[in-house]
Amino acid sequence: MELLKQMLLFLTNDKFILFAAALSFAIAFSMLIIGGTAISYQQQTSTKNGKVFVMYAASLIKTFETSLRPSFEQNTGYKYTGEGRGSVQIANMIIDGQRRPDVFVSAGTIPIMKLMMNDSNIAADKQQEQLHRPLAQWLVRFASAEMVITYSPISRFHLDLDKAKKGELPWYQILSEPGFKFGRTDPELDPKGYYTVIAAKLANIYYKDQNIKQSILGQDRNPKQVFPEETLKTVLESGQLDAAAAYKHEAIARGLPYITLPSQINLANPAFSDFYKKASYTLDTGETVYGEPIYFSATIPEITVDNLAGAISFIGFLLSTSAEHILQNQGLNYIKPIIEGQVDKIPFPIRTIINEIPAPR
Amino acid sequence: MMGKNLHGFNLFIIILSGIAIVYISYPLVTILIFVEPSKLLDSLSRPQVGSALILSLVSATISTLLLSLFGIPLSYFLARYKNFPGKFVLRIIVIIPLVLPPLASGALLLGVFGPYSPLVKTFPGVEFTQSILGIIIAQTYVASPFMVLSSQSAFESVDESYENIARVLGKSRFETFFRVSLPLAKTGIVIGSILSWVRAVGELGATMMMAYNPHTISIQIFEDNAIGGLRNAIPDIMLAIILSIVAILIFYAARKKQREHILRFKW
Repeated sequence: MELLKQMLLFLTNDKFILFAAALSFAIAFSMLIIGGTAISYQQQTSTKNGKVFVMYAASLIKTFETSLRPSFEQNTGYKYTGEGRGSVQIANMIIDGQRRPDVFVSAGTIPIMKLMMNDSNIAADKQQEQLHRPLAQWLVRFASAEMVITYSPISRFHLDLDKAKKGELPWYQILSEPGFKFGRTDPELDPKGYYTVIAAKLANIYYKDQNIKQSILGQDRNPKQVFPEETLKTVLESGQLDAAAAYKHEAIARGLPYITLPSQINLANPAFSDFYKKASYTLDTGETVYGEPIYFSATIPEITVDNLAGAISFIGFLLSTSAEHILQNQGLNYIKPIIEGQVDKIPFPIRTIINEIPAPR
Repeated sequence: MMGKNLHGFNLFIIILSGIAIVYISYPLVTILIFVEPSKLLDSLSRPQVGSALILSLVSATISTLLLSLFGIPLSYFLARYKNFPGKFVLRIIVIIPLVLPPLASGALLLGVFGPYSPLVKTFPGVEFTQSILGIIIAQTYVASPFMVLSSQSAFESVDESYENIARVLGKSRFETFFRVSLPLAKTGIVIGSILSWVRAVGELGATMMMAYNPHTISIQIFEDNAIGGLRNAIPDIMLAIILSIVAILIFYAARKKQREHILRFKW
């Protein structure tokens, strides 16, 4: 007991505290310096050997983080680092120089095309200052997605929504009912956001009723409906929303019930490409997006890639049968990969893989 | 107090305090609704949860130490040096990280430390973003007002005459600072440190911009929620709450020791 008291008196002694503080500072300082160099050294060596940074459309978060990641790491030995965000937001971040991913997986092709049209006016190093190369030069479409309406099983409208799921009630009528809380993502940040607006406009044409889009969505960026993609399951679970616009694979990944839409509106069937083009959405930046079948596409942004070998390995994996099974289980439709952009800029190993893939049976 | 007088002032205080306590604690009931005890251990034993927690603890500690090193002198400066032009501007600058939305702070920090900034070009080997260093930078920035403002008010409450006496007795300014000013301001500084540490652990917005990877525990919660909704994030959230409880216990222990220290008249 006396010893403890002595220890306590010593510990609260000023000199000791001063010493402890000085020691902590010294440790922190050296940790910082050593740590900074060690981290960068380790990342340099592991980048050359093992780290692949993938930025991907946030709707794929569950698929990528829980299924693709372990499979990829096991099959290739590379270490996966991923970040999911709205595809338009990812493109903006790359253009603004805020992120330098090795691979960019986008919902739809438009965000990658934005990179293709954007010269790197940020000089990555002195030599490239002169070159003004675009940030991306090709993309490969590897899967198609489908727009659905996912809903909360505890919504007070869920009985009606169940009926709509079976085709007994028109879905747009339920969504237009007063007090119905519908949600979607921001068309300025997320392709799913503008695809929702486009699908609603297509509904006007398909059902020959000009009021549908206005009554279910209101204005394009309706603040009462727009919410961040990452909160989808939570807002439905908590009853904040009765239903939301989503991709089929998102609804399946989260175990939520969903209503399928007619092929003419769900942006999933290439046979209706011409019909889809009848509706469009114009972004704040001026670009107009026309309705199109939704394809998930991927690219290696030429200027920002750090680990080219790893990036090639990841895309190769994405196009492989293992990934095909994973994606298809989660509700994405596999397609024979289609290349767009400058074919000759595609890394040779990827071109080889694409040429060897047969069309789906 | 309880049995004595339940009318008037006591009742007023108790009711308002009661409402405040319920408001703060009731959301924790949500955990009980959503928790899945069978999956709890599985979820918590995932390697990424453990590493996220350790990463948060370590980076917050480093950030707090950095803030002590630079923030305490700054707060002493603000407390003692009263007459110079531009003091008002300085006071505003110190509060900016508190006022800015964390995402904005993160975006601005990216401008300074981002891959294409002049700073990064000067030190090409160092990974300022998407790394532990990036986490520390973000945490230090957003937590700085807690350290500086607490310490400043602590120094301001130290009677300057003690410092003057020390000087008169022949002690150097360094000695006076370390043996008189700092010990007298200890309580406020310790509180400031703990608040900074807790704020650093809880930081999300700026960290999301500066270093989404490697995941801190806040980002792990964010991602688990994105993947599987609240049910998926509950285990991480419970872990974070346990951490808070531990931090609070340490805080109270430190304060209690401080009070005993003062009572024993030992400066």
